[in-house]
Amino acid sequence: MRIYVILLTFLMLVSAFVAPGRAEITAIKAGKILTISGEPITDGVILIEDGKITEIGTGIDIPEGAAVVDADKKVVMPGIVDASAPAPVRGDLNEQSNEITPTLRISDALDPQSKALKRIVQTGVTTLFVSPGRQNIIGGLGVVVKPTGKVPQHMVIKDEAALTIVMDMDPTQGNRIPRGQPPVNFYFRRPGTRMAIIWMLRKSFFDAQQQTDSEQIEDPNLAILSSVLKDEIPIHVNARRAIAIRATLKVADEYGLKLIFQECTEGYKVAEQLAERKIPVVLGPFYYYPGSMGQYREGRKVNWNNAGILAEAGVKVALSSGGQPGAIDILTAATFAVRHGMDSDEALKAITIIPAEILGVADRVGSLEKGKDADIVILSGDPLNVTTRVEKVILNGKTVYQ
Amino acid sequence: MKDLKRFVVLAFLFLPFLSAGAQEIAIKAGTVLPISDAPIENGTILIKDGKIAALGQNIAVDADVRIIDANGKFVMPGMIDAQSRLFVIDREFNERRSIAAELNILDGLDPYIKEAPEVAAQGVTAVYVAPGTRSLIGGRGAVLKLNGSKDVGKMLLKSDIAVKAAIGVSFNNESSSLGRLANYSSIREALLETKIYMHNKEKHEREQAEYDKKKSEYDKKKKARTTEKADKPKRPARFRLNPTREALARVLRKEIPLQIEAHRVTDILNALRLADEFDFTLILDKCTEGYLVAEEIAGSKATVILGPVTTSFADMPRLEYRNHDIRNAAILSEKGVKLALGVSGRDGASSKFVALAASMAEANGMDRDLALRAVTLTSAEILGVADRIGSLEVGKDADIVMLSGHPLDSLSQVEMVLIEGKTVFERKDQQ
Amino acid sequence: MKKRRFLSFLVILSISFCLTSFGNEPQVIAIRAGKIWTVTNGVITDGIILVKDGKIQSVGENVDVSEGAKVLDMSGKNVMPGMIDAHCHIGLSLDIFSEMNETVAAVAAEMLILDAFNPYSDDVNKALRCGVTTIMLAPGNRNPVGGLPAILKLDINKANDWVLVRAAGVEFSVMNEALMFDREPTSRAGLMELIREELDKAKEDKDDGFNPTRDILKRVVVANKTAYIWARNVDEIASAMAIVDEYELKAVLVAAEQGDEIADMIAERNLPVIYPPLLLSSRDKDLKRAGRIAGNGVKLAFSSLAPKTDLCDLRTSAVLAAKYGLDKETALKCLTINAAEILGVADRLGSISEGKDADLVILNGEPLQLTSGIEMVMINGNIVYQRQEE
Repeated sequence: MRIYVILLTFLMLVSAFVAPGRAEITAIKAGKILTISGEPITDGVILIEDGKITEIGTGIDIPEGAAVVDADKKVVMPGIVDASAPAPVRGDLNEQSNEITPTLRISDALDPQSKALKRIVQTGVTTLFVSPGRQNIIGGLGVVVKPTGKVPQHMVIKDEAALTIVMDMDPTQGNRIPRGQPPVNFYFRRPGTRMAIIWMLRKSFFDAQQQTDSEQIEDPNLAILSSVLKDEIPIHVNARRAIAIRATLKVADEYGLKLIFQECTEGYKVAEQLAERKIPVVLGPFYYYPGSMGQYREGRKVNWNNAGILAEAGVKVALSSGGQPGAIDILTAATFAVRHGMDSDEALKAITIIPAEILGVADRVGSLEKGKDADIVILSGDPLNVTTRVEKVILNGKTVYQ
Repeated sequence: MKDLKRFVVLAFLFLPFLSAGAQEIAIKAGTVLPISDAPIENGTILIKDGKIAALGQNIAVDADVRIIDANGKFVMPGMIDAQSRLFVIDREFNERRSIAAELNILDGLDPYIKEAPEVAAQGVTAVYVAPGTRSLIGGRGAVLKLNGSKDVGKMLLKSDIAVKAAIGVSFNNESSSLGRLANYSSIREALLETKIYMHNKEKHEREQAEYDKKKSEYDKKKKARTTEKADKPKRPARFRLNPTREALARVLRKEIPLQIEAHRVTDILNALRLADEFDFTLILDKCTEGYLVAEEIAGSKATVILGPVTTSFADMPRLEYRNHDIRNAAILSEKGVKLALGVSGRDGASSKFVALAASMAEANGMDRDLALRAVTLTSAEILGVADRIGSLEVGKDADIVMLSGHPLDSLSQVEMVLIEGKTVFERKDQQ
Repeated sequence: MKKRRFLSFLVILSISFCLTSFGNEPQVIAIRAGKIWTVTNGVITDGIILVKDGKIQSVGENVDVSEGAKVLDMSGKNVMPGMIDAHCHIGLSLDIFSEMNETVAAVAAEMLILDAFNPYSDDVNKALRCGVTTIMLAPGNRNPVGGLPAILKLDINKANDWVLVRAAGVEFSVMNEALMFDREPTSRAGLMELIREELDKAKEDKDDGFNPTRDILKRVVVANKTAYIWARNVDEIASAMAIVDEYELKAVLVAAEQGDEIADMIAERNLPVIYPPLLLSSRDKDLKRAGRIAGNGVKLAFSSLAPKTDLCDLRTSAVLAAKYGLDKETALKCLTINAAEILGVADRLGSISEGKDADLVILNGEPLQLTSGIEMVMINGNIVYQRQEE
């Protein structure tokens, strides 16, 4: 027995010397930790190693040699997940040559040096969903990224995360009749009416269905749609007006599609149908730049009580920046949602764990739990207070903004 | 407390000594290139109150002077880019109105840009910025020093260097002979009208002076109540000052030069003809095809600011540079034309390439000394600032560059740059 | 009668003998030079280069010069190999604009750039007096699939085979310049999809008739010919690397100015880089990139992208790169042997070595000095330029 005690002591001594050689540990001492997944922790500690959270709670020993971040009087929450972020992409977001482009991968166009990334990190966002442009009926495949890395490949945490579909009148924009020439050209082949948009959507899924049944898929576009039909890839539908939402629900019912609605400005009008079908909703933006060129004005109103109503009806609600860079940051949007009827806990979930679940990356981000990525935001006070500042943002265990 | 008071009083007494300009500086033991004179081996330059106080081989240096060791280095005056875009906000370079001689480039500069320190770090201490060429007569330019100030007033060495004009510059790479003819005649018309304006103004001034005299006499008579029937003198017609014409009047009075950008042979000859007719000081800017009419230019009193030395500095393709020849500088200077070299690059930071431009000119036939002079003293002379900069001479500003080798040696590194005795750049040793 | 015939025979014989003696190429040329920059074998001081039949017979300090050899005394001068412009678009002009991009169609795989080349254009003559002796004539960066570049020597003469390689691989572009507002693709994602689609089609073994695009793309995707990919910014280079990885292409990055930021990833894949002319950038930050990327193990060659910059400023890129941190020896290699190796013509060009073509440039100063003027240029042993004393 004694031998074992000696051996153990010896091993402990050895490990004490060996410890400094291991990866560096960071410890955050925080006044209040909002884990989101559970009750808030007062005067707690978070231990980070190799970019992951290794320990979280009260009464945790901070190992020697650990870098200590003192957030004693601050509030700590998980990095915000923006389920509809401004795109860090150079050049045109939209492929203007065709309305149905399911194979387009926005991950090919990411620009890690984009200033949009720097700005969004400053608002506390650590995970973003970037979707293709909102001008094509079926725009392509979006990607979940973190604002880090030198090349796009290092930013991506989930590629081909969702297919983007636009159901308002946006896809009719861009028809240009060339002067003095017959109106048959590149820019004059777009559908002009809502019926035509829905028809094109239906036809795409119809063709995909046919091919899926026959198991002979040659067209890569239809191959993607086929994956959608098999529930392998979810769909983000960008729709503002209630009629667009209803029309999409019809098509979804016909083909058994798994949907997530984006923008959903008039969602409160169809809250029951959405709750019934368990369709999650990503709200945002909460500000529209007046007179933006080429954007269809229909339905672009901000309804602050939308979030509250939907949440109460039992719909999973996420709040996002809606792809508008620099207007209202997500924390402010959450504050306003609470002011207009959303429960404050729900609002915090709406910017962290719920979008993470919607995007399918909740195993890694969205809450402060052991084993998850160390994406942490340190705030000067309660996140849902408009005077609160984002003081520090930690991404994968490294400080990226302070 | 009493001691503290005493200390504070004493400190205040010493303050003026502390801030009395920078202390004296001596740059010792370098190969000094004054430009205005032959090189001085193992030379010393003494700087006092921002000016060159002494210069030569055996200069006595006081003990409390700050010594800069230039052993093994070359020391020369700061270089000048006579065709710079530094501080100029791109789109605000050209005024759409055709004749805008009253505009001043100083009103359109942004001193907050980040490129200036990089340019100074390459030994360029002064830049000449002038309005662009979208207008026929674009306004007046200025020479600025790159002393790091964010205040245009503190950077300014001299304003109203010249009135800038252009003959035959194409828009969107389209150009027509008729268009160029119109350019020439428009400028000529403007100058003719200015002459008339000047004549009228002079006449008005005479009439006004006469009126003033008569009026005072009349007033005297009135006061004295003499019964002499005195006619109240008639006031001369009002004369409206025209700022555009005022600016051009200065040109015609030879107070400032007219700088004409001209590329093609016909445009250059037209510019020479204008100078002949109106007798103003002409600076030919760019002078792309000058080598084809070198004799004519040499035979006139015109000076030339030549650039770009290679079309690689410019945004190609441009119609103007169709017949560009890299031997232009060599040919013109050989014929005795007084010429300065400018970079004429596509952005402000390109002003740092002044020494490169001079090297390229040398490689293609220009005499080495003339090439170096073309980016220092000759440039200063043409721009009218040679009383202050352009060479190392007693009494001139201490704008000095120290290099690891000859300035035209492409691999030389700039070690230190002083403007009026203050260090604006010092090279940190790299690993 | 016999006498006259014999006399006329003698006359003809002597005339033909004289003609061969005064022929274009003397048998052997011996060039004495103050400094010979061989590039692959150091610098030889006061050496001799023997040229025979257009090739370098030998080079060294003590070389036997046979009688009857024409001696060119260049003592005190510097000799370097003829420079290679790894990417330019000269001789393609319509007026002052260069026709290097087929802007109507996105995929222009079968466009042979040589078809648009005017060998008698002024550009070519000008190039000679700048010491550029070989060029890769290439399409521009505005087509996702751009066409077939060519490798040419600039002593253009009906008697010479100045076309070294008629179609040297396939040109691609993943730059934003390849996006147009009035034809597909208009977006980066669309651009990548287009390239992938075309390469996928080329990989198939379908035989559905005449399809030149597919046949040409098969060269890169199946036959391992070089893909020259335009990519300047980091995200563009990353896109290029993605394609290279997915299709296992042999590739060269063109105009990869920001390559220094991910040099390790480029070096990992053994991708050489044809660097854009340094005079296109004026910021110190950009001027230092060439030194950094080469310092991280990436093989670099310079290009003028003429007429974007003057072809004569090819050497200026090397000088600027050296001034801003690139090692001098490497800078010289980037003008010569590196370009030759990247273009696959190093057996004949890129250094002053035995057996290689006698393409030489004689300067009155060191190569990496802008003040050095070019006095003579020789291609295949023929003097194609000689500076006139004015």
